[in-house]
Amino acid sequence: MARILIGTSGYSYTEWVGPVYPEGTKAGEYLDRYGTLFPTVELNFSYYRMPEAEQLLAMHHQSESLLFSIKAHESLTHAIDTATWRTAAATFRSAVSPLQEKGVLGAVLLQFPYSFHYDPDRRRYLDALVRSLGTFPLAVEFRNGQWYNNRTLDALRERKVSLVSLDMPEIQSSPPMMDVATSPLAYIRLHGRSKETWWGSDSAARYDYLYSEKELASIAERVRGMAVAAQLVLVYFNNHRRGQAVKNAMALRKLLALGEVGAHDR
Amino acid sequence: MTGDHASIIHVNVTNFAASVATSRDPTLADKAFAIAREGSSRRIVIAPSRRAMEEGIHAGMPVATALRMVPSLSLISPDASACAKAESAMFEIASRYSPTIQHDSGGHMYLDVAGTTRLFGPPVDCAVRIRNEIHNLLGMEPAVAVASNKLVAKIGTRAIRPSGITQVREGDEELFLARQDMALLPGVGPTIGRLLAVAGFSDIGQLAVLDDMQVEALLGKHGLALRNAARGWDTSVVDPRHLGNRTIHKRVDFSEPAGELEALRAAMVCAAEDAGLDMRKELLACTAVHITLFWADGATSEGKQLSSHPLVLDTEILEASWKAMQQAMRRRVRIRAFTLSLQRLLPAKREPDLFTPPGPTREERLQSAVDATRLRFGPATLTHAAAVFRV
Repeated sequence: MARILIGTSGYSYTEWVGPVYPEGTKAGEYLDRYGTLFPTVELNFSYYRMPEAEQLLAMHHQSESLLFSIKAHESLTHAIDTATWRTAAATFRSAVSPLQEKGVLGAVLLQFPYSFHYDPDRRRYLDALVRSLGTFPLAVEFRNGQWYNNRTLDALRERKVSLVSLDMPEIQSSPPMMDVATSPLAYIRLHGRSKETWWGSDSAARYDYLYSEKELASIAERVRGMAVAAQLVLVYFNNHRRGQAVKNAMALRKLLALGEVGAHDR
Repeated sequence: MTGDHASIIHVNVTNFAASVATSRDPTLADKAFAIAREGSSRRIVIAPSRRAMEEGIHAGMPVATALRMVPSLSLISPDASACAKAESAMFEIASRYSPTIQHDSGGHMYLDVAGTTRLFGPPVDCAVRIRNEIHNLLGMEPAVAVASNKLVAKIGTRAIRPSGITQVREGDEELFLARQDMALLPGVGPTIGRLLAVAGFSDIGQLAVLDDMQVEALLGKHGLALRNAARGWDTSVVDPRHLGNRTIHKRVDFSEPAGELEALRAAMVCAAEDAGLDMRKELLACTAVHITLFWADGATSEGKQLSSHPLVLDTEILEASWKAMQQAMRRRVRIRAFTLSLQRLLPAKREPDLFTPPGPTREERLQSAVDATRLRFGPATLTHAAAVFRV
């Protein structure tokens, strides 16, 4: 049976002061507090700003028990410049390597937008990017449904790259639900199910969702299923608005009988 | 999860015999082995283990070739009794979630869970639980797909195999199929596959976009059915009857009641050929052929031929059909219609001789060539001489 680690996508939200962090918690203390709640976190700031090694090491020292997954910078997934992406990949690699050396890197998340179509040029790019970041455990999330085919799965298996399992609103043409272990790492992202606000709204509204107990029970079954074929299952709740991700993540831990957060989690 | 309109679940345990062996002996889990019969010098792999699959071993491969590729490959004899028990246990698990189950052999099952949402939640939740229960209770990891029809669910399991779960929402069928490998489309065997590859078709979506004229020009009359499948169209229902109770049925209505034996035989040949083609497309065989004659005066009569061995080829089906028809022809009245049913169906693959060299017989090679020609250019292009009378 695989290890199952549950956390949230991001931890640094001012609106979590109150519902999640005690009143008066300063921004610099968020990660300490978070580390007492969960064994893993998915870092999203790295998508907007290229991370630096010192910064990531400092985060590790601040909460040494945490396993970090880190979202790739937008220059590698959303705003790809064929002339400069290799430099960006090298910079990203240098920043993340120390986390891997410390043994606290869960995965690097490559999240591609809907506009990233399944065509020869993008397939070649993905292959090159995977080779460029190949020393890290990689997880790929596609928002375009064209990628969910047998050839993609075979290619990911061959490269031992994880296909991210998604839970998101059921909107026409959005990716199908697909839980397939393509590597020893299973990576599950839970975005909430806000159909009405998924398109054309800000991220706060898009991820404003609280999973019900019934929905969590079915998610728990999905996690158990993934744990059969993987060695490590990372589960991240991205419905971060008003701390709902934390509430759901804790409830899921309980449903899966994972117990209290502690060193044994890692 | 919602998407309740997609209520068909397909469960597929890939390389079933090997999965059953692993579930009975978990020490085999990480080993490269293959299920193969003993005795013949030219044995064929019936089912490879997952590790053997990763090494390139596949069902149908000569054992000698497999051993050259993986010298450490272990060979295990098939255990029909263990497979039957596992099938039965899978059915028992599925039965908790739906009364409507089509239990095909070899680790395949279709369930229709429409109307069970209040009891068990959305179909995909049922599918996840069935997958987990099969693993927890039987030690096998199936591929499971949820879709609005059997065809798309089947392609779903083929896309993700050897294991995992996927859901294709109603309305997204064409989108899901568009980029899948053509070889996943049921009905695309080696011959059609080669033909499509030569035409530059690699994805199911490339076939789906052809109009009627284009597809008929490429594949003949049967091509329309294949094109429609590529679009994810399927109206077949989950048939809870045992495979042996299902039939492949053809009916011929004469524009004028027929009295000449030659005309009747010609029509029977056409019907038998069409039924045989439908049967072989599904990799099935039969052991019974049933004919019903509808006489011009309103009376009916029947004839039936049973066979101790599976009938696969047109020559076998024609012979049995003609005998059945002669049994039924007990009157001197003209005939206005007749039906021909292939009954007591069984998977052709279950017949071990199909995997056993020395290779196809002359008749089998001829049948394969005839099927390929008819599929490519239409059924009327090639038929038995007896049928020319009717044409």
